Amino acid sequence: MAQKIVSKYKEGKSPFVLSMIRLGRNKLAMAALFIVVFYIMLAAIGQFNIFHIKDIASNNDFDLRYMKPFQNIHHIFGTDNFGRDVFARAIMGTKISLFLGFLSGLLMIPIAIFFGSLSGYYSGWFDDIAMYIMSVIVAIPGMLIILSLIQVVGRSFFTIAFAFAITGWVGLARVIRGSFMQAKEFEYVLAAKNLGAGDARIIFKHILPNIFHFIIVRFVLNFVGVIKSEVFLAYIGLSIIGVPTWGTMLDDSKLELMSGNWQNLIAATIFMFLFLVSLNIFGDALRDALDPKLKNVV
Amino acid sequence: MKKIFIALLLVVLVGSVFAGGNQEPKEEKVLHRYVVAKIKPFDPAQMTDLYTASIYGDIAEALFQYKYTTDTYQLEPAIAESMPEVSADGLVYTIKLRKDAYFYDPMKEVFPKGKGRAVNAHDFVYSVKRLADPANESGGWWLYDGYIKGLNEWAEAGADYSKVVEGFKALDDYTIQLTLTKPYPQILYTFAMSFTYPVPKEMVDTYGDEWANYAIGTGAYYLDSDETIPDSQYVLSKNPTWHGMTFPKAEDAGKMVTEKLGADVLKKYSGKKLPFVDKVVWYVLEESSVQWLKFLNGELDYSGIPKDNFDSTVINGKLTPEMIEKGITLDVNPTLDVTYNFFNMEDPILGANKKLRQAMSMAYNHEKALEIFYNGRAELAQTLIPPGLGGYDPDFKNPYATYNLEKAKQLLAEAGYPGGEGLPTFKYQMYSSSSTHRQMVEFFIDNMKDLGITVEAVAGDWPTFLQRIDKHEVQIGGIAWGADYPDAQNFLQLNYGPNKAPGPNAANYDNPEFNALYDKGAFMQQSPERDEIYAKAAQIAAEDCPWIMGVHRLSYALKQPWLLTRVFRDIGAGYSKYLDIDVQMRKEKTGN
Repeated sequence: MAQKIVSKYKEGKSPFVLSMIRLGRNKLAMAALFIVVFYIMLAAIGQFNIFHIKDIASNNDFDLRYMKPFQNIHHIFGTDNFGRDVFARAIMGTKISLFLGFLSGLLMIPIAIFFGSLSGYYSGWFDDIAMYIMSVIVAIPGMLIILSLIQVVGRSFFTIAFAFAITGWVGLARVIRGSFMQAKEFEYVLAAKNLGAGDARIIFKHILPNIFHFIIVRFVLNFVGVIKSEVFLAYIGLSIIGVPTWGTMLDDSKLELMSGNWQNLIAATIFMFLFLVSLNIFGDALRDALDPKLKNVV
Repeated sequence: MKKIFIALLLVVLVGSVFAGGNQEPKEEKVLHRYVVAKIKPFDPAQMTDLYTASIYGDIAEALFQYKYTTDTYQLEPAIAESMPEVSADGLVYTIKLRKDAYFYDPMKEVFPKGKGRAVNAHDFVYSVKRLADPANESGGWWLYDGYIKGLNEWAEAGADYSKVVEGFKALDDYTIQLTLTKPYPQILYTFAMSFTYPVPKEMVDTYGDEWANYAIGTGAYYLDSDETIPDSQYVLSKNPTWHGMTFPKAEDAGKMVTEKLGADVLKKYSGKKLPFVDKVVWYVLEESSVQWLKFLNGELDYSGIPKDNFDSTVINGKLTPEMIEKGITLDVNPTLDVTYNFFNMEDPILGANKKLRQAMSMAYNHEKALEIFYNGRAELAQTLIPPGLGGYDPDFKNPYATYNLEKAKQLLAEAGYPGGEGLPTFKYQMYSSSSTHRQMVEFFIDNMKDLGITVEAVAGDWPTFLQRIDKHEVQIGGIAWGADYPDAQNFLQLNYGPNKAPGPNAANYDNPEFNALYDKGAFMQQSPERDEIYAKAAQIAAEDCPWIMGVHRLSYALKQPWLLTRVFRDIGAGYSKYLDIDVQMRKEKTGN
């Protein structure tokens, strides 16, 4: 009969739960999270065409061109060159931005984990090759790679997300590599090794969970980078055609500002600004909360 | 001794003051014009851009030039002594040259006295050979490729300048004989283009590779290198050795030009000796905001209206009161161009179904496109021939070049695709990533969506677009065409079957009836019969709808009150000599 060990202490909370509690205490971060969740809801509204938002955003009404903001309850942010509702287009833009950020993050993280963990854990020839690849990618300006990829492969959600992922994984992979190099010398890893754990188990079960906060934070902050880059791409005319994005709205606005029409500019800027600020605040708070080295600071 | 010297000096000074006091110092007339892009070297064989040609056109002359005050574009002799004699079969042209068109060398390096020799037939032979010489890769070669007897063979045989080309030779020093391989009456227009400005061979011998940085011509002005600042301003001064011309007679002016300039102005200038201004300053103004500010300050004598300033300058087709108060006038003129969306007629669905194309043409909101993309600065095209050219029929209304969604839906049902059912997604090939082009494509896609047809944009740049057209891969695309010369043939060729891509017929339209009319009309000399043939051909193409017609753009220019004799010309160069200004008025209005 197995002996049951009963601790005299109550079972403690896991480090993750503790981090979340710390995060919950940060009021600013919670406000930011609320806004981010709100944006996710907006994106869902766009995706599932709730309130016919998709139809409103693409409905041309040439008799209502360039209606100014706050003059009509049906067009709260006014209308654009084709008489389309600017508010609805900004909401549809949310969907595209979130989608691109999410997809590129999903594509980027496995690549970064693969190269970062293996090169950090094994070192040797694999590390040499991985570092060489990373150095090459870092040496070429990211935007140049993105522009070339889009020109060659064409513009679609997937290619643009893929282009961001291809250029964005290197930073995270380096962090993961460094952490693995450190961690593989730690006692818990040596102990696991001595107990006969295989490499895969050590990598995925022992080390990776300990550095996962880097990945979560990077995933959140990746949205910021992707949204900014998408806006730049759209501004130079290389974004997805036929769907409203914040970038294309800004691109449209450059033709309209001289004639005093700033609806597109204002709507896209407000939507983007709020989202990016909230994401940044939330991302930073998340990093602080998840980083074990900082747990005594908060 | 010193006193005597001072006294003498005083006498000289006082004397000179009195001597000068009797004469009114003559006010120098300076014309201020501009171009919007940097200037290329002055090599006629490479003069493919409008801007270099505009400036060089004041310095050099061609065999012919366009009449200044007619409503349509008509040729008249410049270096030629008279219009050419044409043989009955339309193949042999004999062109006599005037004997007093002297090259002028302001630097006195090629011709030590400044005044050089008279231009002769050999100079033109040399110029045309330079266009044909493969080593020059001339942008003007397509104008002659295959048309002049023996010229292609001469180029293929190694371009030996000492060998005579049968089809373009000097009969004597002042007579050129041109022999064509087939009738090509439009060739005369090419002899008014910048590609054929004669270059003295002596200049090429003197300067070697650097020769195109110098300008030696026979025109009314010469390039004043002392005052010229390359890439910033080009200053031209009156050529003292110019053979001279006179302002067109009042009675020769067209009705529209008379209305615009005023009969009194035409009468006043009728037969007056040209040129009127002493200097022409051509500014290079790449930024439209700089151009606009310079115009408002009175430092430019006329200006186009930058797109961004249009709405604040022209309201309901009229100038703002502030502009009118300054005496500025608005001059609106049609330009010789056409914009269009084309279908690939080799596409199994689009090419085979006329009613489908007509439906799509009617679902395209032409009127709104004009308003949104051109601020109304254009007129809707009914056929491919723009107004101002023989063959343009002002009474013809293209039933498919107007928006009528109900009729379009009906046509689509008749085409066998009610509500767009059964049609695949069509692909619209883009050529640029500019905001305006993207909006135009979005507009097209939205219009087709209303009809029930799905169109998808395919991103691409200009070279990709052209390459895909050449390979017949573009299903639907949009493009514009500007006239090379004022003949409707230059537009009709865009729908001529044998000109299929990689020729200029991007739609690959091939209608035997149209082709037969083109073959008949395009090689006739200008006449009412020919214009009728042109009009009929254009209307056949309009009915077939290989294109969704776009617009003929309008030129909107503003003119200062002191600029007296400006007539809008969309084609040709060398018009500075006709322009006059009222220096006194400019002084009063601007204070300088």
